[in-house]
Amino acid sequence: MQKTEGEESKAENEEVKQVTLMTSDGVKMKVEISIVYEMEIVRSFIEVNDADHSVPFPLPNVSSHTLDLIIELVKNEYDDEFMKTFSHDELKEVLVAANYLNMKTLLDFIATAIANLLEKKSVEFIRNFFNIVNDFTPEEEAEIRKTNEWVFQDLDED
Amino acid sequence: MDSEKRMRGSCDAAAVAASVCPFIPDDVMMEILSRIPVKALMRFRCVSKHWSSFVFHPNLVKLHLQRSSKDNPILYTISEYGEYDDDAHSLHLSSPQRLLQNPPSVVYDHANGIPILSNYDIVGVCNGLVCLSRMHNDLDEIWVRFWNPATRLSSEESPSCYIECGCAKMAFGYDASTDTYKVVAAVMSDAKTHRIELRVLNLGDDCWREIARSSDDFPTEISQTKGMFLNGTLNWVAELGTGESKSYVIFSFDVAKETYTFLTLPNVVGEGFSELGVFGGCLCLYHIYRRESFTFWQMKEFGVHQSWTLLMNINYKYFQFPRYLIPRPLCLSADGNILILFLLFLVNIQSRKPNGSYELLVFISMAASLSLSLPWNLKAATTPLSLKLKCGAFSEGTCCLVHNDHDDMQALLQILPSDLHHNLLGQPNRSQLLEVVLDLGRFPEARYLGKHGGHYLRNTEVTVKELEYAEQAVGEFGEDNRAGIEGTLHRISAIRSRNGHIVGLTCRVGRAITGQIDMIYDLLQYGKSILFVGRPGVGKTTVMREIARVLSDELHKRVVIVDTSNEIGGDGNIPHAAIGGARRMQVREPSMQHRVMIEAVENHMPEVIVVDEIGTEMEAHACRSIAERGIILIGTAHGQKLENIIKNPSLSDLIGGIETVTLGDAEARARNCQKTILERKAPPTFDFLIEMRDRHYWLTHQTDKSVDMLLRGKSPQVEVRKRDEKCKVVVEKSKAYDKCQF
Repeated sequence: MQKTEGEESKAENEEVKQVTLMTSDGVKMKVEISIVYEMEIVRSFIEVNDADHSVPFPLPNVSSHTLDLIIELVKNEYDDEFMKTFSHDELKEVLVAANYLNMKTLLDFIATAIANLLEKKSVEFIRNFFNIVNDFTPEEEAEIRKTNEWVFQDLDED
Repeated sequence: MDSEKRMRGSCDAAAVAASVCPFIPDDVMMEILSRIPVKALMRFRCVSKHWSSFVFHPNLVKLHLQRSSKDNPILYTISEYGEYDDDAHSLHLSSPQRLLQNPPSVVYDHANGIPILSNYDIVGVCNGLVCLSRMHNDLDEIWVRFWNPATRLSSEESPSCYIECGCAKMAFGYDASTDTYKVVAAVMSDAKTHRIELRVLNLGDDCWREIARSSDDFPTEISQTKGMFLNGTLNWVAELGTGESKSYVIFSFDVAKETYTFLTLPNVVGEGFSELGVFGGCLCLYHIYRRESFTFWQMKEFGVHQSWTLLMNINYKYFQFPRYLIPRPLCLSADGNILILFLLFLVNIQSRKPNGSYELLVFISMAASLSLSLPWNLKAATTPLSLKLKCGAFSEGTCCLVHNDHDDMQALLQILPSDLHHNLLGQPNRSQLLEVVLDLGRFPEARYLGKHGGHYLRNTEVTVKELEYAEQAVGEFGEDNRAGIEGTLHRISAIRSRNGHIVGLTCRVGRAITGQIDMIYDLLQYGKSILFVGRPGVGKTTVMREIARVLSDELHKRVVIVDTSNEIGGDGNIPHAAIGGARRMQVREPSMQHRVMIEAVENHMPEVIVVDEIGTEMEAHACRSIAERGIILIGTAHGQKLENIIKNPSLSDLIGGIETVTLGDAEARARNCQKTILERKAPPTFDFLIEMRDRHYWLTHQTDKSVDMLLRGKSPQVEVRKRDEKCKVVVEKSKAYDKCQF
């Protein structure tokens, strides 16, 4: 019902309200207000200004692809299986966007997912995942590994 | 909708291909790391130099502790292993369940034990941090050390606490308001009068402080050896008065306020053996009367006498163990209406082993289960187990990240008169200490963040000797009368008399504070130059330091810091870790700063130059020349507001320079203004200018627009960045500049 009417130009007159969001790559997306309300940053603005919802609300830090993923996640009530199809970059983008949009449930969900993913992983995996340059000399690193040998047991394959 | 969806789908591929690893700010990284077990975090310290210390970031430690499960109690035990080696003891973490199911596994689990030195006793466990104590062989001194079994890091031994007679009654607690761990020792200071004194050691300090007793009631005896920590208080069973007037109370010490009060015991509890424990989040009391009965009480609501509830009352005849033993509750679990109390008995059986050491025996004698509808059902399972268990402590906390984090305060104290140490360390707001001022012939003064005026540290004047001592301890002062303390970020500045003698010192506390970067991290991504202005002490240098670290470590830029008075990177030739991988160039003479800036560009190929305190025309020109080469500049300048920079002839070049323009008559009339007007001469060196009105209230100018508006006498639009009550950064765009009042 919502889908057929979403196309209509008079969407704001219909029962299901939609808010237009403008992503960093310039795509205008109409999003159901129930989903938008999870985004504290947009919600606070809408509530205060009671603005015309057809004027796009700019989200300069969120790409259309990321926003798509977020909307699907919220629609699927944070489905683990759906999230498992995400690439590492997508996970990180959704994380950063969830923080920017101030979506508490999503941030909690995605941070927990990443934490579970990383928990048993090697140091090399972490560096790759976050794109961190190793600035230890080989000697320094060997020394740290030697003194903390106990933490390097029972790891997953990368 | 469908067509729209497809259209978006087609740009997905492009979006993914173009995606770069997004920059993850520290606070978001903490959201992830706070959900990862300590063992894995210890492994991640290997990731990079920044991560090796980031894992112990105070905010992360706090968040991690909040997220840690408090549901599974941990049993801490020390046991001896190896037949002959006296030093081989190990600390074990296990659960009461495991102890019951398979007692030997708890103490014989050497593979998972943590080796520690012998003769240590567990004072207490707080947030998973263990405090161990050790008595000198002559029994006149005691010292402690702190142990984190989760990170396996431990502190050095503390200074010792002298004991005149008797033994020290100790306890270990945590003050959440200042994030401080404290050990309290009640010791007898006078053998004749049996006067008891309280001494406190903060984790990280090097002295025991004496707590003043108020003149009225004070315990004549503290009967319990180890106090129990609950609700920010430490609690011991104690005696008040002597002889006929003797009474039993709970001596309760407030860890934050360092004051004490007394709580009452259940009415029927008097003479006999009493001890406190913490079970089910409540203070509990177990009481043994003449080896006839064992009662177990719970104070359901802390400090409320009426809430004492009797949970268990057993006649001694049901106990199947020798009468001289003292039963101690180990765990209380509420499972529906079933309540189970486990008892653990420690006894030293006088059986001398061939190698001369005593063997300690443990009886796990009984698991009593209580159902409200059933009478006592004692499962007598008396199995004397010959376990070598020395002592046990019990905590309802869990493994955590708490780190023995010394601040650099000790280094600063080294140069101050020793009688000030006490006073400085004892201040509850010591983490807010900004500076200590020593002026000849005046009282030494401490200034704290957020407080107007100073606070005298004692009521005698500073002497010449003390200043000379400080001067010697600091070492050489630079031409600018400043010096640092090696390896720290502290700054000492001197005031000299006409003949060159030091007559005043300002000792500024430097802290590697992080966590301000989220105020501007989106600005950093533009790759534009930023100038910071604001009153002294507002946190400009701290921000410089953090920007240097983020740009170099996280955005992978080549950053060079021109560090005029070694304030950004700290004193000493190896810069402080807080600047990350950024390189630091020291400046021999402050007047040469501009030359070093140019030298940095010519020799070291930087992408970013960080420079503190741009103050002269030469430096302003050097900045322009650097900016013209396409290098990002991050700098600070003196002045509180943008107007101060515009009106300062030597600095106005930073914002484009000001010139006077004479307009033609027609033009002046058209503009409706005077014939001579001020105009900006050139594009500004710094694209953004941030006015730091307060630590958490910043105004961001787009320099060119704001300067033009101000010159025309209009109020420009600025972006306000501030923190809300939850410390989250809030950005308000397009605010009128003249309406921004902090």
